Amino acid sequence: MPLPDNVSDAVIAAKKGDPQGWNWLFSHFYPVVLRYTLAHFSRQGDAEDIVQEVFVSATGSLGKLRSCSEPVVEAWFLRIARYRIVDEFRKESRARRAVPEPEETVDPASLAEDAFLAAEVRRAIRRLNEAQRDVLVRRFVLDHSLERVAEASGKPVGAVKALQHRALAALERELARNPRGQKAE
Amino acid sequence: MSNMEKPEERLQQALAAWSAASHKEPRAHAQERAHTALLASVSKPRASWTFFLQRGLLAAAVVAGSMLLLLPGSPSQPAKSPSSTATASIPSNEIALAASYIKQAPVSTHPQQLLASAAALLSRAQKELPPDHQALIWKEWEATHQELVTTEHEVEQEGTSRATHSTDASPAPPPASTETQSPGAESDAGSESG
Repeated sequence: MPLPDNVSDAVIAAKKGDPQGWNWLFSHFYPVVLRYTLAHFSRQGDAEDIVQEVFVSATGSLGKLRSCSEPVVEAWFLRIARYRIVDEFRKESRARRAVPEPEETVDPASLAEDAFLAAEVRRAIRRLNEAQRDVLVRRFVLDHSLERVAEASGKPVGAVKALQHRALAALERELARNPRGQKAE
Repeated sequence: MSNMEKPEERLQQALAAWSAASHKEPRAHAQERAHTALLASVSKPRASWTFFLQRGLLAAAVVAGSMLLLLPGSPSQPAKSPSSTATASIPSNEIALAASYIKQAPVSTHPQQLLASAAALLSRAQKELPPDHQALIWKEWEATHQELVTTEHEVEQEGTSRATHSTDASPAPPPASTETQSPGAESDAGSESG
């Protein structure tokens, strides 16, 4: 079977169990799923493990995918990643409760300003709800337009705009609440 | 970036730092590990009713076949089908993924990375190819390798203009000049713990 040329062909081939279809989807979407996951986890190894699970899990649910357009397929992969990330957060939270430890170990003195800020944002977005976190990652890390986020989430552009506004306000509050964040200024 | 009111300067700075920290290059070894796991999952049969039906029919066929072989006059040594034709071999998967990377490289935002991964895959696949250079898989490997060389040349020529495009204001993907890196050259350390 020839190599798929586009996302639609790749999805059709993958649905038939053709590895070429999966190869195409993997090589095309791996970087964006990794970036999405790295927005939540500082350690690249942690993010890579999650991305691997995302693709393995995708093989079991591709049949549910109705549309084959690029934004929809990408949104589908990112949604699987989002669920997996939430699971990971829950696991970490349970582990913290079992062994009470400081919530995070960011030492401002040991990090460059940018790395410290990035860590602070990753810490803060965990306190936002899933939809807020998702819109921030898509808009500021994946650099998606409002229209693209709207298409992927099935919401009107105005609703995405309002969600982003609330998410930024919540993020700002969370960042301001952190005493270490103030120290770094 | 947006047509909403601008967040505070500190927030903007934090968002920019977060975005930059999330733009790390995919690492070849992690990518290959994930790809192997993916293909293993694709080839694994799903436990659906059709799966059980197929397994049941297969089992029935095997029993019936065995009984036929026991009949007088039947060949005692049934012809063995080569197992290599039943499942895709590892080099074949590697060549297929490499071909996919090569095909996407010219339109990708990180062509060098894809081509480097393709080169690594082809090099690994070559070591696992059969000694007979007339085998079909060798032709597949050679064609893919030729495609890699051609695409590398094309991407190299476009390198300058691509690099220029990637320096716009958006949190763009890494520049095309990224050299091939050995997987071990990078580490998780880059990072703060989360």
